[in-house]
Amino acid sequence: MMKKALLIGFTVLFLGVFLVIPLGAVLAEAFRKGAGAYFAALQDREALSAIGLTLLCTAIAVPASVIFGVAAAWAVARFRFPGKSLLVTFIDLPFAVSPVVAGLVLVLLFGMQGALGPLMIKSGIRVVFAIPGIILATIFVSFPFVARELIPLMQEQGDEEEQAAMLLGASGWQIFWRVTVPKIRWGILYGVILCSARAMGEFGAVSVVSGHIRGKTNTVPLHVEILYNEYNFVAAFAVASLLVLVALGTLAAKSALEWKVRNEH
Amino acid sequence: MSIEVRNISKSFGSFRALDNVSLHVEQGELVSLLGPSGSGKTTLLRIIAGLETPDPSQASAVIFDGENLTTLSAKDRGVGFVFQHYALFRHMSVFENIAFGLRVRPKATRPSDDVIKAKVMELLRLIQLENLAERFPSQLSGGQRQRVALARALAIEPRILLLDEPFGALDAKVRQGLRRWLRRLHSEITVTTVLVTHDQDEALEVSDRIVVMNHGKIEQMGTPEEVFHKPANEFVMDFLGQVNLFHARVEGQSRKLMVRPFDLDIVTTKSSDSAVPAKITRINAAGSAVKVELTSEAGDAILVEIPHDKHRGLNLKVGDAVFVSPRESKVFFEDYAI
Repeated sequence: MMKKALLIGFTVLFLGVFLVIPLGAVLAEAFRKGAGAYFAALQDREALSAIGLTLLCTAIAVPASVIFGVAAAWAVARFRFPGKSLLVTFIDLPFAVSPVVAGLVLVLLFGMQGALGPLMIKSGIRVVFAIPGIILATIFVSFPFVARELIPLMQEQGDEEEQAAMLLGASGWQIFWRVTVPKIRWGILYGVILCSARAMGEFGAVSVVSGHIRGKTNTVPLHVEILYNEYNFVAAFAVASLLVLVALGTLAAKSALEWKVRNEH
Repeated sequence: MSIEVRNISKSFGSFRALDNVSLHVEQGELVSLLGPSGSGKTTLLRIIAGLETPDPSQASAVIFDGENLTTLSAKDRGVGFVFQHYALFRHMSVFENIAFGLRVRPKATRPSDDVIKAKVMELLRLIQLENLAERFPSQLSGGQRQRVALARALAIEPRILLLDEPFGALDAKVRQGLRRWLRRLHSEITVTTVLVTHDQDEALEVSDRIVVMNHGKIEQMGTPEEVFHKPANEFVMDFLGQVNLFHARVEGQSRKLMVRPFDLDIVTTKSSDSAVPAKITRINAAGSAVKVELTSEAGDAILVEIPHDKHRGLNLKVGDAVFVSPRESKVFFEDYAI
């Protein structure tokens, strides 16, 4: 009994110190000068631009992750080919490498001094210190989520249902939409939730390529940092509270989905 | 629809799953492919269905009613296929599972919703599951799932029906019921059917003909009576039921003698030269016959099956010294091993 109480107490205390109190502090700080200051900080032109850019990056990175994830999971689960395990390892690379390195790689490739720099200058497309670079960085750090959900799921489910559908005369497209997608839809959704959370919250990789141009290349996490460095704590925490909200929403959606999938089987 | 398979070979890497197999199935026949796992029976079935392609060869062909389908995709063969683990669409109701093959047809040949509904209801009656149309596969028993899988395969009015170990995942009682039901169903709808099984009782009970396979080759083809009573070789004899193996010297030569347990008799006095002395080690009177296990003087285990009334008459007990003698029917084989 004693041990049980101790263990539970320790866990709760740890979570309290490292999670609940900081989260509460964010909200307390955000509302320190009242709701008026809070909403003013969110309606600031630069804040709105940062929110817009974050949503744009997410709106591009998530579909990219879904398309890549389904294709990669299909290839890995359904076919045998040389280098398969290497491919699966590489899918995990964005998790293993520091996001700062990912950002630096983009600068090395697309920067003025980079490998593709002359091409960039000639074509007039700016990648680094511009929106395309931010989008690329976001895609890099968030693309594995759907693939990592789907690979084990599709390996476990096998492809007998697809074979059955083919024998019943279904075309490849019909098999994909009527059999495969319904089989993996919860896996895709789960991946999308995690991928969105990561895409919206990413700081390191984006920070390297962004250049922090206010109102232009600032995402929500970068905007929070700038406000904080300017000692504008109320605004910084107000915008940060959006990220907290996203995190809580992600957790809620994740739990709801897990509950739904468990109750379906 | 008749099926003809000509000179089919199939290798997976260095493993030769099928070695130049040819087979003919008559219109309306129910043929079983019987063999141990790894004998190539499922591979052969999947090649007939178009799910696997045979090793390329000029001589090889899969022909339905004279039409060469070797290069035709599984999608266009019009084959009804039933998987061992059902492969029902888990997110669709029983009704939608059965309707699937009709719904995916191109617009021009797709039946109207009313026709599809009538067809599905007719099939549900055939499999005796009319009141479960709205259930999902996870809410059905194994036997019910397999019947739904069969109805789904029949919905497209297949040219031939292929069953891959259809009852393999079911328990013994359900399996027996479904076997008889399949046999009745086949005599009603007479679609040419190929069934894969490793269960000799199942093959003997449902088939018009049995194809016994081993190591990618056909060992024997024939009616259940033929393969059971006139096995072509030692493998077939052994695979189709329990056998006792005796080593005997006949006309000065070493021979193997294989005798089924019910072709042996137990006597208490040495009645003939061929009677072998043995000691009873176990008696099992549960079942349609009494199974008596004995050990010969040479230490070989012998299994004999005798009728219950005979068992009562002899009053046998474990430890009794008796004689085992063959009845009139017996099978000899040249002992090619030694």
